[in-house]
Amino acid sequence: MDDLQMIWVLIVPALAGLLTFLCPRRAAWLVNLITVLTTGWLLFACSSLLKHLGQNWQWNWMELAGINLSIDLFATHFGVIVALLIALFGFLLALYCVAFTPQNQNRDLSKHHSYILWTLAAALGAALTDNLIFMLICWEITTLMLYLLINLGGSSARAGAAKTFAILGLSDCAMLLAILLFMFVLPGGSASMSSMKIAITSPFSLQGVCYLLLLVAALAKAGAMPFHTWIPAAAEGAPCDVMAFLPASLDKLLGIYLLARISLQFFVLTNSLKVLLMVIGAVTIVGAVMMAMVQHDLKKLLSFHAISQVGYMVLGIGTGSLIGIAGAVFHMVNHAMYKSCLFLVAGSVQKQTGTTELDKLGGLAKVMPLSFFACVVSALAISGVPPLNGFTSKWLVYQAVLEIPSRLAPFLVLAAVFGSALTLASFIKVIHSVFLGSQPDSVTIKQPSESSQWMTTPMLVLAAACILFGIFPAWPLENMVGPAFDTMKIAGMDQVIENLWNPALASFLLLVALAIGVLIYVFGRGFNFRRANLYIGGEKITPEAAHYSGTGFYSTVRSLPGIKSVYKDAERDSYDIYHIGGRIGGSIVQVLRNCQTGVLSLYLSWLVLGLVIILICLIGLGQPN
Amino acid sequence: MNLGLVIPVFAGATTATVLLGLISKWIDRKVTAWIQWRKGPPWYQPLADIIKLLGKETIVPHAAGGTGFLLMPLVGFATVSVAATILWWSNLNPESGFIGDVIVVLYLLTIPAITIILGGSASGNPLAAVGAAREMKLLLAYELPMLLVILAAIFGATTTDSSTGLAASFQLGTIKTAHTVGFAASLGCVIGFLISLMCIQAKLGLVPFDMVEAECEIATGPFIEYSGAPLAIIHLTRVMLLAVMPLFIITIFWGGFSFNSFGMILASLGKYVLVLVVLILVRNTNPRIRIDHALRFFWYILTPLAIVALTLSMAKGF
Repeated sequence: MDDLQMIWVLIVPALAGLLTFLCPRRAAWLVNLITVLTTGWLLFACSSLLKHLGQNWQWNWMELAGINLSIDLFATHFGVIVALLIALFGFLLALYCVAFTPQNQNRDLSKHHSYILWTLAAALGAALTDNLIFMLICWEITTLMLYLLINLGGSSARAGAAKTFAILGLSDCAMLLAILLFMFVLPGGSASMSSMKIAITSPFSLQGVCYLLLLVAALAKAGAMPFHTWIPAAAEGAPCDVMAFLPASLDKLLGIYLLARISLQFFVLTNSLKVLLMVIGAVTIVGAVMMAMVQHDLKKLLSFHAISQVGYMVLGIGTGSLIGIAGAVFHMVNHAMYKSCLFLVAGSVQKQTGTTELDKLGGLAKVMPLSFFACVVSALAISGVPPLNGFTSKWLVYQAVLEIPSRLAPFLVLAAVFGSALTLASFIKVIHSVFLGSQPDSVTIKQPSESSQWMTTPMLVLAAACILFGIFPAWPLENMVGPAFDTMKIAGMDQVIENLWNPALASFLLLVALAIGVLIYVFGRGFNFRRANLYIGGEKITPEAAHYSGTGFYSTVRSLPGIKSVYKDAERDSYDIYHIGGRIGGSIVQVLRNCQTGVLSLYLSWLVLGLVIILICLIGLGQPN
Repeated sequence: MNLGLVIPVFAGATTATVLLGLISKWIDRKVTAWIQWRKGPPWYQPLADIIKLLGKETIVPHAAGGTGFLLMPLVGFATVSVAATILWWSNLNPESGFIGDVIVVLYLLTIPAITIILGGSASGNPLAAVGAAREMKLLLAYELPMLLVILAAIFGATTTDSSTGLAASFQLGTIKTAHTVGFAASLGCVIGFLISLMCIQAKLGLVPFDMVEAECEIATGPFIEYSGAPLAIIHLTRVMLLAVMPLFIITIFWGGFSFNSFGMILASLGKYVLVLVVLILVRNTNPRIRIDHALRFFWYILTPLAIVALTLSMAKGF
């Protein structure tokens, strides 16, 4: 990138997006080619940015009422790592999309790809800029693109798209307010991100409000409670690849990137704010995963996990300790990998069988072994099973939380660890209902086969990365999490790596033990097996009766006293900020509506009352002091 | 740790666990027999059962994929061996553990349950699926109080260091050493120990928590399609778990095992046999309960108790 300005990283995908948008409908191959080439180039460009840290590119557009509108790119180490990850996911998604046309077939292909490319441009802009206003603009563009992408899912996606836009749009407004406060009110504030360092004296001070506003924006983007409800709503109609791309990976990267920078670099947090963050994290982990457990639709189930996992990152950042932050940032990287892998698997299942309803699936492991493998690896990784990557990052978070000097510590750890057990439970349900068990008629009629290599390759790459990052966590910690520390001027990454557990050794022992097991199999002729029919207690039952779907796995949990009513409320959206907001808005409108009775005398008395108030004000103001 | 040391430790720990497990299994069957006025099997019977299974034909159902079905028992066996290695190692050499090994062991010990579930549901048998669903719910049921009491032990072992302030210990060795000093003094840990006994009763699938297998109802559930060598491995794994689980809770709540002197060895064995006999007696004097009863029992009765234990041990720790 010696002879290349940073701005090209934004311009190229934006232009390529325009190009694909203008492509004729028939030329699907051209659209795919442009997208794959552009994202591949982006990956290359972002990795070469690594060698040119500290590079900047500035263009002052105009000065408007004291606001300096400028594009101010600055290659911080953390930002470049986030950008690199964004480019990587973009590239994998582009490969996946070659075979995975969105639901409405070719008609929307060019639109879909151009939105994806524009999202990439905006997300890269948000990660690489040093100017808060430009960041806000990029931030808003990704929101808009997400809205358009969800809408591609057809009429069933409209409501979800609107909800997404409402929640994210409002949180973006919070960010705008915070930025204005930064620039005009706060002493020492400016729009430049790298120079910011503000101490918060109390959460109710101006600085505190400013932080909370930015916090809302970051949490809503990442999808933490209570701003989470857009993710499941979007999942209902949005194509799987969109879910894998935005809510599962990009939005998490951006949200947690902002959260980390505001919580650790821009502001110095008070203890009460840290506790607030940690409680939000713990509640998010358990609340969302409880909802995930009882879902019947694969996409919706995954979307609740996309919320739950944010909890770990928020919890980690909330501890404010070295290990906690390392765990949180590492979990952000890990989550993006396994969650997008899971959504890609869901897409592959949907493409082959035409459904994501858990009831209608089953026994796909035999026909889709690669998807099955990717699914099992990423499911175990998200559940934090050692020696996969999710375990190491969660383990860092647990450790950090245990060390905080607060009586809440054991309960926060409990939420985090038990949340993992619940996560595992709901993925057991997924694996059983989709890949294991027996095939129901709806599957056997369709005769599914493994997806094309374009789709399996990205899944397998991500699954392999989950395994490698799990076995050798020191490398990503040093090269991906370490930079975050550098940028935020936190020292001590070496210490974290030094005290890491040794998953390579554990994996080696696991392999040795597996080999012993294989030897026992050989000795007992376990591999020379005979095939036989199922034994069902000596009864002969039809294949339909033999199909036992996983959807009812946790109905026992659901009907427990106490838990039952919470589920009922949650399903009536009682905890949904969108609906609560809607209801408050509705009641305000109702008050106004009640004033409009149509009785002339009432209107006249309002008029007189208003005149009197104006008069009093005028007299009051007219008095010389 | 260098590799030259790891392999012998691993081999030694695995062998010790298998032997201890086989003897425990025999004790289990013998005591059960006594309670039922029978004579009971000879001491080598558990081993003989496993060897005999190895000679039997392996059958895989048509509905199963094959790879996953056969692989799962092996994974379960492997994880128990690694967990056993970490446990034995930190018992013999408390300073040698690593930070957070409690969590690693705890997680490794849940994997056998996962492999049972996945193996069972890979068979495609509806009865196995019923059993698998129960196993998962049972895991959720006992994991909650178990986690709470382990946290109680962790905070019970917390020492208020003047230089670093609070240091919640996350390490098996430290917890073990802390309890050797003052186990009886901590009421929280005593309650925690009793609760953890119930939890491992469920974790080992012993009556009254054997609804996963429920022979006369769902014909051994997840294991229904297993035969020959895979079944032998499953039996081996369960035998090892029978040794590892008591060892785990003794390490966490009761000062662990030590082999420094003859008296210590006797004391260690005494603790182990006591835990084992309690498990066996409970298993022989109770009927099987339903899964929803188990959930209620663990979540609504043991969990509040575990919170009490945690509070007590924190009150000491802070």
